[in-house]
Amino acid sequence: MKRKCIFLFALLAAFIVANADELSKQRKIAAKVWEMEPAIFDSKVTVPDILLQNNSAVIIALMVDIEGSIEKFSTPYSRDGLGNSNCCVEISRTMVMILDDKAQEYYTDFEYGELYRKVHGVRLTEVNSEFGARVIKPDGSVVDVDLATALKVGHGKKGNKNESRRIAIPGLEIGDILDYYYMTTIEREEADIPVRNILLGRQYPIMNFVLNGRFDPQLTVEVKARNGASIPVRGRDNAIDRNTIKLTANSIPAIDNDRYSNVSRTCPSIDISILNNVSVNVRHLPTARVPGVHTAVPFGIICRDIASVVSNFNIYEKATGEALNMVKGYMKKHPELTDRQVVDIAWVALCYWLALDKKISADDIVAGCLFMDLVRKLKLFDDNDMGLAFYKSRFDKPFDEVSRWTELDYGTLVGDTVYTLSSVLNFAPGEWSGSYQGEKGAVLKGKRSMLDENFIPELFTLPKLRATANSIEHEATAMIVSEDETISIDCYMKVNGAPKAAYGMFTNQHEWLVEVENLFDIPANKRHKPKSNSDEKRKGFIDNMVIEEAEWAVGTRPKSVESYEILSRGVMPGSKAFELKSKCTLDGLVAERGSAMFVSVGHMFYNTLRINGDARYRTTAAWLKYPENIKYRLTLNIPVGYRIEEDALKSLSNNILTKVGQFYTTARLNEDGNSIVIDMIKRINIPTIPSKNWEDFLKIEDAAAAFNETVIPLTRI
Amino acid sequence: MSSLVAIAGDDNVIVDALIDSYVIEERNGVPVAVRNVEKIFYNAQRYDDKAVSIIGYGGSISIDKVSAPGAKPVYRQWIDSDVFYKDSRICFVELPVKQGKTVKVEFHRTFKKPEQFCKITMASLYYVRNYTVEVSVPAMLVSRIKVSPYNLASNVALTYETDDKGTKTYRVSISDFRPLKNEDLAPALSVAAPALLVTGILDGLDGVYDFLKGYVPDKPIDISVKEMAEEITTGIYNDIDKAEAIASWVRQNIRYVAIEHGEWAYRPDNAENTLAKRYGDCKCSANLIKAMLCSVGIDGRFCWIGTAHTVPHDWKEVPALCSGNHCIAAAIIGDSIIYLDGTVKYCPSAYLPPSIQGRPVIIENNDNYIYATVPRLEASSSKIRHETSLLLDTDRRVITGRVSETVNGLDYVQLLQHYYSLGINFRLAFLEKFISDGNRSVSVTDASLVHGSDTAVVTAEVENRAAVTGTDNVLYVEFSPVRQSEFKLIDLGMRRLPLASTPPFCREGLASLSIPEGWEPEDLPLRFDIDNEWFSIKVNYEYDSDRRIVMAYSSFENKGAPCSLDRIDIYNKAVKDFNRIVGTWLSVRKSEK
Repeated sequence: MKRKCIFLFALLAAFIVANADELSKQRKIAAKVWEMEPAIFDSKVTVPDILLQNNSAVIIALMVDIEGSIEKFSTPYSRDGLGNSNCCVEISRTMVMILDDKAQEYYTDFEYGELYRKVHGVRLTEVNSEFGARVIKPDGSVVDVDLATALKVGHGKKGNKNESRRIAIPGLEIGDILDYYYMTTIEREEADIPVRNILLGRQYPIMNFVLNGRFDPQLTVEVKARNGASIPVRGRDNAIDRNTIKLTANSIPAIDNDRYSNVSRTCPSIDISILNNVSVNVRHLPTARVPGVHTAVPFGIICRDIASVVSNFNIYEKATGEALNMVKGYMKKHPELTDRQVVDIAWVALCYWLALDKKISADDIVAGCLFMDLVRKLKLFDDNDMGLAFYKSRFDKPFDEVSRWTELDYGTLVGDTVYTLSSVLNFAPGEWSGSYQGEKGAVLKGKRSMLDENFIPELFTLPKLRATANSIEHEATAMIVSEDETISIDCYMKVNGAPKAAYGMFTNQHEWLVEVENLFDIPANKRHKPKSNSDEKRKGFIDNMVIEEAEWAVGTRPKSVESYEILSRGVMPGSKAFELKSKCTLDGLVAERGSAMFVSVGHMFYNTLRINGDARYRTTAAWLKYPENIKYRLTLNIPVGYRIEEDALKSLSNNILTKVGQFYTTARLNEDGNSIVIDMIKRINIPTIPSKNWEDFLKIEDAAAAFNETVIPLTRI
Repeated sequence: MSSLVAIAGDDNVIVDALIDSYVIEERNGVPVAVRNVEKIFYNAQRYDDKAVSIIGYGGSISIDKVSAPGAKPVYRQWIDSDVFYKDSRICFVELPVKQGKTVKVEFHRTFKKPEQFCKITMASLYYVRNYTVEVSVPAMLVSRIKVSPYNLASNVALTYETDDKGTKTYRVSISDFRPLKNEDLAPALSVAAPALLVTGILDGLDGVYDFLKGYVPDKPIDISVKEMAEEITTGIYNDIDKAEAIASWVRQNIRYVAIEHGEWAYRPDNAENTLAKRYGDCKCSANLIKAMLCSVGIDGRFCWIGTAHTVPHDWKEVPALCSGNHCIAAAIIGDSIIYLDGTVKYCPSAYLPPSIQGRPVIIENNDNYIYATVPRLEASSSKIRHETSLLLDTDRRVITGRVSETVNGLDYVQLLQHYYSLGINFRLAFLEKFISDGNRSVSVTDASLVHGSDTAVVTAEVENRAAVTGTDNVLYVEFSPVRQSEFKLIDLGMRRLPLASTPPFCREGLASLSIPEGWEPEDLPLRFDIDNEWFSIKVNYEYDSDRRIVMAYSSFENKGAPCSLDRIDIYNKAVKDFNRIVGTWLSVRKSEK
């Protein structure tokens, strides 16, 4: 018993010492951070009234300080017994004035500690963060946040895995200034540090910003500035033997972060890429840049990287061979196919085999390369008519402003069409999701193995579709069931172009494979077999999707869905549209009052949310997903014993035509007088609406939202 | 203490049997621990699948063994969005289940603080053929510890047997146990689920009080607390007003941050610490209020309570820790007890949040305690007065005018909490939505909010484009003095739970509609006067003397009554009647001259 007590005491003492060490280390870090950039971290600075009045918080100063270093260590896993470790220490310090409840709540609690530790093969990656904070009171007194009060969050049976700490900032009141920092340390053995993307904007305005970087001269550091950010100034600090960068900025407005904003394309930002190009234990591209700080690396250099990568790709090519056999068999059966149709067929054949081949895990660049090889074997297109294409979504950084080749999306350009793996389950070959439509990209043309000698890319633009090509069309027939005041509605929907992405969940990989097998008429005994027989689960999932879809398209959540059928998935060559037929019952849209029956017909035309409050006033462009055209025809049968006056249909007429689009509705009585036909068109022609045209967009949205509340009176005969 | 939560929602995976056994251990006649073994036998009916089990532990509950062939248990700290920090942990097992074959998961746990063992909730998201819970009480404790049923169906009985050693084993078995799911407006699952209640581990209500009181700091009031209390009450000479002022300051200045690990689940931080940190949970704010009251000469007390809608038990009927989940303070002034909840940020003075109204409360009283019940407030304590003055524009077929909403009580609390939780740029949109009541054809301009300490007034100009329909000669105008969205129809299709009671509230409406020259109102809508167990509503329409203005008056009271499952169809009919009143259309005809 005595021995046990001594042991416990020793353990407790060790814990106390370790804990004290940790706290002492944190205090030392904090002391160092609080001394950084004293000129801008001035809590006594006068914050302009305009900032105080219109914001929940004002960031007085924001500093990002990055130090990149590289160290050698002994390892049995390398030829010379040495390895190297690339380390990045990033301090992000914020001094923020709290002005209301919202900001106080936002800055109430913080989490820090060990974030990640993983061994990839024999190489370690470790990320962890330190934290420190102090509260500066309006009277100037400073209260350090005691990290000893932080609480441990840990997983695993003993709670010692992936440990982190949570802390609530004590004493924080409205009017206080919170000064806090995160220090993130990333260590990667023999590898590059993930790109550090530093946004200059935050949700609250920033009065002063500074970026400092210090890098070991052995490191290759590539710096990109985007969206109007200045390029950091390069320098050299011989005293510490470091290459340096510095950037300062002030009066940075708060960034819009609403459903129409696009931070990636509008907010000034800096990318810092810290590359371990001196490691001798991992393979580098022959095009890898030499050590030193490189600002504004030309895009052509990235293209050389890509050319170097793909020309040396050694890919397991079974899928290409299988796909080629399939295509040749199909061509024999269908000699009338055009070259374009053959390529479309070849694309789905390749994707089919990539999906089934367990030995290959293909991403978009691998699929792009394999498809180049396949098309080449088909000898339909000249090498100069095809190549590896790369591009980005309009909600990501522009394609020619990436920091590394790995940040791009890839596909294969054949003739004038680009094929990409990422849209296979949603779109027919060569079709594009809305966020890529009209985006610029580049292509490396020629024989793949020769690309490293021909790395001058050609530019191209992905198809930019008009609103009418990104369309959703509905034809619905509604019947009022007077007895229970419900409406039974039969609806046929046809979707073309970008909106098909919203129906991607209706097709899973298994269903897509079945579509391919049907297309190629693959015998039953040679078809793929799904791992588990979960058709029932899938049906339950689709049932729910149909209800969600009906709620969106019809505007009202159905009381019940009686039946539905997917007529076309729109994912195979020659099958462009997604088509769905459904029958459901709606409740709460019919009300008999006195001698009239009021029917809320507007509730059957989508669900447009009214844009309210400050969101109605916009100073920056609104980024929509894509131009779009929605057409809806509803035939409402008038119940026996009721009629509608023709002039009562006037309230259903709208024609709002603006520079950005149109909202049009009209209604007429059928010749037999037994039904009303209501047509609606809502079209937005441009995907990015300049702020000067925001009012034009609002007019359309307001009219559509108000139309949703339209009621018509049917009078008893 | 619900131990099994299964994730898959379909009925392919079922549980053939679930046996949840608890053995209470004693030493010298004192309960010292509870051992729990839970065995779950899964089966996949139609295809191979996975079954997921999660069991809770952490703090004073250890997990001793998990047996799950073919699966590796995963242990995680439980992060709760409402609680900043607690030491609850979960063990998660994802078990492959072959069609037609039974697989077993077994969890062994120990409750090292037996006083926390007081409620065994029977819950599962899978269908369970046979669900058994057993509680074994050693002979030494049989006279002290009672096991009683809660919410068991009428055909299910709690039985017991006594073995040779005098150990009494209580058992309840439920066949065809169907999982409960969250349903619209239903009681919380902690209220709706069947359970066994274990009392007597703490010795009656006295024992519960002794246990809880042991955690309340009992040290002299710190000077910082006293100084702050004096500052808050400077110039206030009435004790009731002083108490309200102190509670109001705490609500406004102490952020709700809940820390509930180990003894901190029961022990409030010292008042001076809470004051310095400016944050704490319900027990911390209650303790600070109490200390501040005492420091200015008011008899402040600490109180324990179970909130409405989450805790269905009464301290006296179930003297155990499961009867409480919240702490408030009380000021005893003369013959009055003023209850003060420190966690409701925008609580009007003299208002009691519905979560504590009508609930039994234990009030500390030195070595003794006071058992009391927090008063219920009338429905009129929460009221919105809705005033609209509208004009029919027959040319544009719109109605325009001014709306004013005067908000009190719970509506005031919710309005301000929501408003101030938003960033400055989102507050106007919130007010516009509040005014339009979700009607998208209403365009709102000039919306503003003015509020004092117990009343808020939201005003705005409105234009409703869809409120007028009809022909060239007859127009129908949607015109009602009642705000919408008070009730909704309940889908009875898969319904298994009743409707919970809700906080009662009142609405008053006064609306006027001016009819332009050249148009005559036709017959006014009928007068409505409905009074049922859930609500009462009166609506009356009348003209002014020259029939140019239609006036509508309404008074509505939601009584907050619950509704049993078998009466929901009657409830739905009442809702339809209500909706009929809300959607009132007034017809106006073009004058013939």
